[in-house]
Amino acid sequence: MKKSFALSIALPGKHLLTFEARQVMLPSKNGYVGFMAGRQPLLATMEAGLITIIDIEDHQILFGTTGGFAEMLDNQATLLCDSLIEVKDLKLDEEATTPDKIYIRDTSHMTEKQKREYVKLLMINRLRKTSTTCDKSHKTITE
Amino acid sequence: MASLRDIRQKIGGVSTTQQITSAMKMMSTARLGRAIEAINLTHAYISKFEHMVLDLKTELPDFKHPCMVARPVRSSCIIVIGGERGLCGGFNHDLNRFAKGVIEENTAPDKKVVVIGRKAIRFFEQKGIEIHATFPDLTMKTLDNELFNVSRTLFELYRNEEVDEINLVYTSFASAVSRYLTSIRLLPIDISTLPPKPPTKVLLPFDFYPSPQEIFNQLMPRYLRNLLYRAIIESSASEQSARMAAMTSATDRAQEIIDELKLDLNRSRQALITREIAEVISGSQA
Repeated sequence: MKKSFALSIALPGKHLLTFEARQVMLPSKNGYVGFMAGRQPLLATMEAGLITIIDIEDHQILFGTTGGFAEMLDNQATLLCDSLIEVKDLKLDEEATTPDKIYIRDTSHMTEKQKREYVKLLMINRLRKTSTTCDKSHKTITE
Repeated sequence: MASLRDIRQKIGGVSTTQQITSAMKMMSTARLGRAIEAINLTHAYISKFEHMVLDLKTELPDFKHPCMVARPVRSSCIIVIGGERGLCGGFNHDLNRFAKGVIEENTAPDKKVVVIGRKAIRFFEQKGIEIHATFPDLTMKTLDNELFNVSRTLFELYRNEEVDEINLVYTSFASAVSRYLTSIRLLPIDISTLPPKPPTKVLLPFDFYPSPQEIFNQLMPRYLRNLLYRAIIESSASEQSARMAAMTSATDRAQEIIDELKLDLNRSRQALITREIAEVISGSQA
């Protein structure tokens, strides 16, 4: 059985990001869900939160999203994100002011800007605790 | 015959105009390039969305979302996407006339006209057509922030049965030299008109998080937003291509006028020289 699956992240008006992934963790409505290769077909909504991808070389790649949809079918995962925040989008000077503990909040009534700020805090917090990066190369393609 | 000074002044004036039209042509070309790239990227994104809608429908064939069910039309919303600026040939004129025709042909007792684009807004105001809402200055830069609110408002109007259908009128972009006026129905969605999806191998049932109804409720405003986004950037690309064509012909025409004026200038100068020589000869003979 194949141990990896094709993962593509699509954004409105942006290039498609593609990965060969072993595992992906997503922020769903009822908490984080993870899926691996060979999973039963899935269609889910995504809330504002972190997307963690583990690629075939076991590197963790971190993104933030403000919401969207995820689909897994035929060992191919597609994430349709409203917006995507990469580690390079974070300002390093924000790290010093970020609290140690970020409480999980209901983001359904937040504006897009508030969601972005909240997700950035989550990302900074995660980066502080782990050695997660998103500098690993991924292919950017245009359909 | 005009004096040499007058002709030189005219040549100077036309050259300045030619420089402006040439610069506008270059700007339109650059903007058109950006708009075409945005269209291609949006097509990829929307096709993924459509695949999700089709998967949802294939998995649950009897599932009926209000966005898919047609109801008797008492109130119709017509969104017109027009141009922002002039100097683009017949682009604004053609679209405004077409949109006016679509509105007049619509048989719904109540019509809510939503107009995007400054030129179209001015046209409908001048014609005395009642406008429900206007959105001037929706450029590609401000589109991301504004459009989500616009699509959410439209979706709420439809869901609360304040309107029974949503139509869209815009100029669709085919290539840099061809565009066509389009009138489509956004809501209710006719699933049968969506492009088919390639067949899949897996026949297992889908897991839905949280539920198909909830997924659809979140999917639809975004789908509507993306269709609107695509229509706006297609309209923008069409406007830029029309402006590019108009400015190309204006630049070419300016060159023709300059050539004609230069010919006139040379003729006048030659006539002046000939006359002066004739005067010198006749003076010496006398």
